[in-house]
Amino acid sequence: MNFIRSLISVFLIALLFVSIAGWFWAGDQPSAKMVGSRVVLTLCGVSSLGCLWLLWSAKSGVGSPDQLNRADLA
Amino acid sequence: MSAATCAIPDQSSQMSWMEKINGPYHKQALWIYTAIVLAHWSEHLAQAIQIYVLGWPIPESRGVVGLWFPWMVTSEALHYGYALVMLIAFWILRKGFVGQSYTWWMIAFWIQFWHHIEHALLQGQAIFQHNLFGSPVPVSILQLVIPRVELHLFYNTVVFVPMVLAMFYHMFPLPGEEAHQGCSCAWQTRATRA
Repeated sequence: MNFIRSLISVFLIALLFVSIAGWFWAGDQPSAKMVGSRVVLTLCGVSSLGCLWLLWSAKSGVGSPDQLNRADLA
Repeated sequence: MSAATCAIPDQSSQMSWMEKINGPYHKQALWIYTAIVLAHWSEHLAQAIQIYVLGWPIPESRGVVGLWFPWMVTSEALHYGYALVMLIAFWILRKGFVGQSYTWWMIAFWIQFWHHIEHALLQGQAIFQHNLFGSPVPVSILQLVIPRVELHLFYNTVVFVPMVLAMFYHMFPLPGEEAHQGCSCAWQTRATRA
């Protein structure tokens, strides 16, 4: 379970990084473009953080808690 | 370590191809689909890094494959085709999902539906050689207020996030939902299998 979470997290962290970099980059753009860019880049960053939170706080119903813990450690 | 388990429905000749792809072949179909989506997603992330981090001019920032094959970035037909394939795959593979995973999958489907409409508008302008709103280049509706690179990074984000959550809840179902799955996608511990 943690392997899949980690794999997905790589893409989400890359998205978060790109969103932050883009937010600063947009500061050099004309003001009309800057606002539009920053709004969607902020939403991208928030989406990636929300997805990370949902992934890592999710509890699976498969198997007993003890078995799940052992699977996570493997 | 985890391994796939769960009863696989009988692959009888009486099953339609829709039943097969949402049953015994759902896992394989989702792996192929995921690989395609991640490859496309990586191209968008690479393009964003080229612009925001490396400071390349936007026309020169064509992701990875686009550096060797520039037509892949400029072709509206290819973008539209991909959006359409993605939309069709969302629809075809939906019946394999249940409960929470189905909800997330359908959220991704409906967002992709709008994304596909935007690409259809772009494709229409490319075909008829007539751009909307007097624009010098093909333009979609939200592109009137948001630059194209950021807009499509956003579209791909808001499709990718619910899709990923759907697949995650599909592989690791919530209590009570696993019994409803007719495919072999759910992961289970070796201890549970034994």
